[in-house]
Amino acid sequence: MGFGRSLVRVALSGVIVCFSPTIFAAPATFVTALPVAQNQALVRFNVQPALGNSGYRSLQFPVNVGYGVTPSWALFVNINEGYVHLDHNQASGGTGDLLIFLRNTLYKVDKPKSTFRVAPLVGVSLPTGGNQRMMNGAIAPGELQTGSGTFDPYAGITSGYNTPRYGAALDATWRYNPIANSGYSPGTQLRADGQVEFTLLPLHLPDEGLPNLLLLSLEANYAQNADAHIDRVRSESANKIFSQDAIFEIASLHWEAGAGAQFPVMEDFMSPAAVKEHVGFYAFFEYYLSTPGWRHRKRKE
Amino acid sequence: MRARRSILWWASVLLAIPSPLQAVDPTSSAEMSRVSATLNGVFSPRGFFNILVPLEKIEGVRATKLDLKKSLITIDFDPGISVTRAEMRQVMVDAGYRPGAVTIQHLPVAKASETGPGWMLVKHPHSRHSVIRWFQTNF
Repeated sequence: MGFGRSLVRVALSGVIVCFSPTIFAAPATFVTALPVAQNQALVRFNVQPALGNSGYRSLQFPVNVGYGVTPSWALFVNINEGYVHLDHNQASGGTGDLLIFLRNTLYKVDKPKSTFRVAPLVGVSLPTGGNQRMMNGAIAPGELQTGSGTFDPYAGITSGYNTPRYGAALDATWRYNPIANSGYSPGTQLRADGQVEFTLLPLHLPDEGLPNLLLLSLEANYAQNADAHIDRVRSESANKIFSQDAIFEIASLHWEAGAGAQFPVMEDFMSPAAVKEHVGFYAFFEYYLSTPGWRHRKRKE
Repeated sequence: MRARRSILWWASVLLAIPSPLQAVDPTSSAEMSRVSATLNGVFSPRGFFNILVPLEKIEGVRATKLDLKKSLITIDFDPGISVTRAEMRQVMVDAGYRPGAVTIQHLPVAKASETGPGWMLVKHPHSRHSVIRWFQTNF
C-alpha cells in the first residue's frame, strides 16, 4: 500500500475532514475545535487534487457543514465525493462515507489578547460509500473502494490557541474500522494534525474597522492505518504518512477562502509496491450562515 | 405619454423603497442606546460573525461597528429600544465567548451610527416566508 493508495482510501472513505475553527482562520487539512456559534451554520467546499507515481491521480470534493446547536455543542457533517485513477485503467469514484460527529467545547480560556480551547468530539462514519467494487472478477483492492462498508466509531480531541497575530491548532482522532461483510476493511486509523498560522496582511491592523486578512497557514498531518483487510486477509499491518502543507487564506466577515499545497515528508509502508504521492493541493471556499431560527426580542421602553 | 407614465411609476416605486442609509432626523429629541462591548477571544472576522448571528435576531439592533484591533463591537439600537448589560453579555455567551467590559450610552439620535465611518446596518428581513427571510439574511 502506498501513500497515494492510502490517501485514496482515506479520502474516499471520508476521513479527510476539512473543518475549520471559528476563532481565527482555518486549517485547510483537518478538523479541529473551536465553536460554531449557536444558530450559526457554515459550509465549506473543498477541491483537493493530488498526483503520484504509478499513474496516480486523485480529485476529491469534500463538503463540510457545521451547525452550532448550543454555545458549546456543535454538529458536523462531512460529505465526501471523489475520483481516483491508477495505472492500467484502474479508476474509482463516487460518494464516500458520510462522517457525522458532535463536538463539545469542554474547556476554554478567553482573554483580551488570547484564547485557548479544548474540545473532545465523538461521532460515526456511515457506510454511504462503496466497498464491493470488483475488478477482473475479484474484489478490487482497498484503494479503489470508496467506503468502509461498516458503521465506524469516530472520536478525538482538538484544541486551539489564538492571538491577534498568530494561532495554533492541534487535533488527534481515532476511527475504528471493523471488517465489513465483504471482507474489506481500510484499517483502523489514528490521525494527528497540527497547524500554526500568521496574519501576513495587513501588516498593522487599523485602529478601527474590520479589514479582510491574508494569512499563511503551515500545517502538518500524520496518519497511521493498521490492520487493513481484503477478503478477510490482512493486506497491510501498518502504514504511516507524514506530510506538511502551506496554505494561503483570505478571511472576511462572511466567507473565507484558501489555497495551497501538500508535500509528503515521510511515507512508511509495508508493501514494496507502494504508490507514492508527489504533491497534493488544497483549495476551499467557506461561507458562514445564520440559521433560520428567528427570536424576536422587542422591548420598548 | 406612455413614457412619462412609466417614469412616474418608477419614481413612485423608488420613493417608496426606504434607503438602507436613511438619514436620521437630526432635530429629533429621541434617544438611542449605544452599546460598546469588548469581546474576549475574538481576533478574526469569523469571530465577529459569530457575534453578529445572535444580534441579527434581536429586533431593534440598528447598526454595528466592528473593530478588530481592539476586539470591540459597538452596537446602535433603534430609538426607544432599551437594552441591559446582562442581555448583551448573554449575546456573547450564546456566541461562545466570554464577555468583557460592556458600556451603555444614551445618545441623541443625531449621533446615530450612519454619521460615522465603519458602521454597517444589521439586516432584519421581515418577509412572511421563512425561506425568503433566510436568503435575505445571508446573501
